[in-house]
Amino acid sequence: MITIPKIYLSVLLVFFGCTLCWSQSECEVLDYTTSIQVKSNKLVKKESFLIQINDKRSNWIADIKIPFDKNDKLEILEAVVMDLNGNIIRKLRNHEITTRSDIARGAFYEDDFIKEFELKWDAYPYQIKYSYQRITDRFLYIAKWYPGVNAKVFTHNATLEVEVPDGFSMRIDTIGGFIFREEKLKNATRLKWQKSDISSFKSEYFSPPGQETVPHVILIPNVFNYELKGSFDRWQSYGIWQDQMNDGLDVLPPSEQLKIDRLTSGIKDPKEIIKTLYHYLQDNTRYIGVFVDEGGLKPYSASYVCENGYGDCKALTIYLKALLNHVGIPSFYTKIYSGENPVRINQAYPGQQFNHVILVVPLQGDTIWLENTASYLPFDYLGTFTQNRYGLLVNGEKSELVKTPTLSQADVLRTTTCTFNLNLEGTGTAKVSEKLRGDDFETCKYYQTSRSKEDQKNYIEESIPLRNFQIEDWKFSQENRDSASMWLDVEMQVKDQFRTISGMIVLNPKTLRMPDIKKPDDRKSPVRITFPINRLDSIIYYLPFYDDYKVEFSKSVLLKSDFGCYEEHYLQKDSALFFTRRFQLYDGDYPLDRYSEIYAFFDSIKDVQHRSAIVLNPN
Amino acid sequence: MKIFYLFLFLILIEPSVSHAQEYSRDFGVISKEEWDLKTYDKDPEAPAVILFDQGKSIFFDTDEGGYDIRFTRTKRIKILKEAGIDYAEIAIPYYQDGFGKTEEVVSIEAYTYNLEDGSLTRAKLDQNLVYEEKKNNNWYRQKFTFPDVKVGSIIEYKYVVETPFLFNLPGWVFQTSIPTIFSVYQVSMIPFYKYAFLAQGIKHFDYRLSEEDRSERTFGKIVQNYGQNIGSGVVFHDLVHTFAMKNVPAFNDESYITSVDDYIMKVDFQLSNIYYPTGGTKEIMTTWPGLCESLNKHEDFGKYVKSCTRSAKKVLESEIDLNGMSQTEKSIAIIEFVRSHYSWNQINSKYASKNSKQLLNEKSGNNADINLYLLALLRTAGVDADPVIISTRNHGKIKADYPFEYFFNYVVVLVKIDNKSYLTDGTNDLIAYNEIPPRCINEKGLLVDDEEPVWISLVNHKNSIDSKNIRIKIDANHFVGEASVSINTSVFESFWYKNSFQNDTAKIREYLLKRGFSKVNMVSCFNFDRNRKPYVISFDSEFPIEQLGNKLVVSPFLNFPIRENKLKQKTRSYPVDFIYSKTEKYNSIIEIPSGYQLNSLPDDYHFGDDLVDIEIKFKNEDELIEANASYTLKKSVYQPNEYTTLKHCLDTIVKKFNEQIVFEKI
Repeated sequence: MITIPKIYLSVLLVFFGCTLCWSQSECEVLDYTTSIQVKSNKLVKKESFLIQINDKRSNWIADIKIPFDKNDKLEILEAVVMDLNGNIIRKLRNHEITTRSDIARGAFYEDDFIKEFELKWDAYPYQIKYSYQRITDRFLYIAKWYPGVNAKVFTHNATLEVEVPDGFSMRIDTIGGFIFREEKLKNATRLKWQKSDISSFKSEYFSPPGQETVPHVILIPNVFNYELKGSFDRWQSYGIWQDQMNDGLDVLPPSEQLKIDRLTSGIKDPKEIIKTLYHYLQDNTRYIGVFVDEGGLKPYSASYVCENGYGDCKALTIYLKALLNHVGIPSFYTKIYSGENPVRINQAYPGQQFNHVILVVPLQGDTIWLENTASYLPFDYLGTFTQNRYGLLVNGEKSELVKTPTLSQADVLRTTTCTFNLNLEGTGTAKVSEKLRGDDFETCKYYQTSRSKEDQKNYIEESIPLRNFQIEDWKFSQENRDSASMWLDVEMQVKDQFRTISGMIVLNPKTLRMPDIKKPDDRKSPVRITFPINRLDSIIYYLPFYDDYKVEFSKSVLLKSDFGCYEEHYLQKDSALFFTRRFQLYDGDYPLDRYSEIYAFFDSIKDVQHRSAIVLNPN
Repeated sequence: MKIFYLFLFLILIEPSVSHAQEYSRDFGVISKEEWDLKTYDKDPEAPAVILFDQGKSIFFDTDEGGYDIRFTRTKRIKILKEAGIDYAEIAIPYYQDGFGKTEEVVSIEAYTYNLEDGSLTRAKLDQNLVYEEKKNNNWYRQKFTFPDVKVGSIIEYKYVVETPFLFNLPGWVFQTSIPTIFSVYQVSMIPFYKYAFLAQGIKHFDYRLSEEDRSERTFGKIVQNYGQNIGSGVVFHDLVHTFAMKNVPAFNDESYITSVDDYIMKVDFQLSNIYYPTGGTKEIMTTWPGLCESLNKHEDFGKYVKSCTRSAKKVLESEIDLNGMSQTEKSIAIIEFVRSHYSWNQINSKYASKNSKQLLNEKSGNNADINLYLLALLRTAGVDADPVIISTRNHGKIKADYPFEYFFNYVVVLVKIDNKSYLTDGTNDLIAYNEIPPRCINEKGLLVDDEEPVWISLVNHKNSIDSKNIRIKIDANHFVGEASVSINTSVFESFWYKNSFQNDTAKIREYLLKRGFSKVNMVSCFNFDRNRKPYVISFDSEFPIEQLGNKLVVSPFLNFPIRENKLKQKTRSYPVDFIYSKTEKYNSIIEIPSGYQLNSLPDDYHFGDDLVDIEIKFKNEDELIEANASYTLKKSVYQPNEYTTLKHCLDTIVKKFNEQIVFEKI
């Protein structure tokens, strides 16, 4: 007799003399105050923090890192450890502060630095207090301020104080229910935003970027002086400033002009000329990000790219613009926010809301969009990195926000056919043949061109949702370099591809990987799906022995919702068993209260996938 | 006779070297063959190939009358594929000691060669585009990227670094992630410094020679009288050592190895003696005891420990009450005191980075600051303890045949009580007082003692266990299973769970929801802060039950067992290093749902040898099924010749532990 109490006994034993663990807020920001003064074209910004650390596991927050630009004047004003009564236990000494380069991932070099120090103590709880002042004479924002200091940590109280001289005008972009006060000083005005109890923030699947939804105060000056004087009065005025920054940079050296003449001679069709020059750019330059001085906003010149054969997005765009200038085709430097899930441009607040640059070439009845940092992508292809969003087309007085093309269902359709030949042990071969578009095409193309054979194999292994397989060979192919799709063919040896359960053979078509989304009770953000998903999968089983069995399929399924659809079908034809599946997810924005429907849609797909099976019963 | 042999050797070797490859080895001279090279036939997939890599180190006279080392490197690479373009980004590291002594990158020259319309073009690196990056207070890098690089380009560069740190005679790496056609390193030694050298991964050099340079050098004042030097100076010749390798394959990373550094082909040097021209010798390193002795005298090692002793006395008087405690209890109290009061700043070192006063004030330090202070506390409290220097896993292995100081990058403490001893580390409080973290477990460490060298094994022989108790009920009407689970883990298995989840039940729940459970409730975890007790997680859950016709299919161990064997290669050239031995155990009790009967149970299985034990048993009595399964990977490190067995065992584990039980409707 098996005794049931056994397991309970062991659990009880474990309970006995145990400490129960629970999650608690181990550190908290008690106060975060930022005060900013606008003084004769200088921005003096002071930030102070008071943080309580309740146990050793949360003392990571006492590793202080202060990033700064080479041209900033940064001064650490105070850094102390205190007990809960506010008594100073320890003061930071100068020699404890270290400085190092701060070079972002993907950049080759930047003249940014980080000052670092630690404020640790050994009796908990304790508090740390530190403040620093930064003086900048080049700025495009008065403040871009988020009261939650650290997304992971609760902030009790946060204050932003801004003092501006009389006559200084700026735009205020704020959300999040701040208590606002305005105080008139002599020759100046002090504005104050205050907020209590700012919860921590965690990003969620299919949600807008945090910058759009968390409380913030963004102050944009009407006029600025960043190498050149400019204005954020209108998008046009910002465009004019960028035009002036770019002035004279888009000129080719004479030797390069000769080359271009030769390259384009005989081509009549403007689109063909643009394509030829785009290919020339792709084949002769590479992306290297060097950001020094005004590196964020002022491009390196076309001749820099000619000499070095590299540049960042701005330099490569200016270079291509110069190539097109030379053949008399006008094109426009267009600022954009890149990434699969971009922070949307807030159109009401002209400002430096961008992090990337592309080139736009208007042709009669057609506009050509050129991404200049990826040598592996097709001509006139923006892809998930920059599709479906607004960018600022820089064209002097005619500068304007323009919307990039949107990836459609057809643009992202990925079709996969997986053919198995298996023996009675579930061992045999499998061939996967895929046509990739959209996101998957971009990634695969990148691996094909820019990564080693070993990396390619690892990538393919990861992307094939099967177990117990060994890749024998694979092939990438593409109709031509400018087609926005490619094929991937993989040959594999496989084993244990089905289960044998009391005489039955059970084949479970491998499930599609669904996003791992949270239950509706836990969801905080609204829903944003930035580009669609469209997959059509077929799995074909050749089982030479299946005549000895009676084949049973799960039911065909069709799930439809406002967010997408999912279907599964089975078929027995000739000597093979077929399984087909379609999954579509539409792009769109939905309010939080519709999240439960989206969740239910994914949940029902998961449920269906769990049940999908082909069962062979012995005759 | 000796000379004759050397000469003969030269004649035999030289021609084969000069005829074996057709490519130019002169900076700035590109041969046609190099242009014609489209793929490297010995490795057709290679994204780039190093045509040559030549290093030279010499000791040159400084203005102060001493010697510094000048290291010159010239390297040429052919870019064969798009993926090879990354090799055009170069970083040259250099060191500053923070006390005014610094290495210096004296010059950089770099060119890109392209064939354009049949003619050769050369693009030169613009010196203004060389950037300096500060990695930390001591390490800097000069960075540049080649201009005008595309597939087919040949890039070459030459740089000179001068170093006043005679301890850091540059070593040489013959092997990288791309293949190398020719790699040579030449060191010109002067008679005043003697270095020991160590070659790794190299069975024999393709070319190896040590010969005296013809030109005469002098040190000090030379006064010739009838051909005799009567001054105080010395006349000497450089002794030139050359090491060369040809056709070195790319090094491909494998999973479950300690560090790439342990396997690539390289040579390293360590300063062993200084012979003063004025007479007299200073022994820097000759033996392990010598190394220990110098550590004990070192400002940031032995002397640091001594300087900690004063403050240790105070702390023991005022902060830790050891009254009435046994030696073991004392040691535990002190270790836990240090762990809870000081934070490790993630920096590994065998030397302290600050003085004891700073450590006490700042409450944070590198592992040596913390562990040597711990040592001082233990000794002051009368507990017998010694430092053990080790090399962390990412730092590579120690070769016990060579007393090289640079092998070590970390120090832990050995505590000895009543003829028993244990290793401890003050940087992590999630493991028991008598354990060191897995990152430190790398074969063996050296006890720093003045006597005979004593090697201490770092391997932890406690078996790390992950044991799961599962109780399953089935709701046959809704095809839902309900499982109460408790996960009981020890030693490094518990360390893994603790590191992954801390004591955060929400994180655990999130993790479980990804493991096939549809609902997870009542998650609790125990003993997070009690590092000598097993870490326990318990929870209730629901999961879907598979229905096939009139049958229900249940995985007795749910989705917990490993689903795929990560060892995929057919053969293995390096050991498989799991760090510690491990047991995974399941005890599962399943209630047969009413209206159903047992249709089939998987077969029992047993396997056992020196490497692995596997055991699975199923039992059915009345309405209950009990499934017990366990496997033990008995070794922490498996040798390449054990790979096939290990792989096969893991295949079996994947298969057997995922077999299912079938119930049939009555």
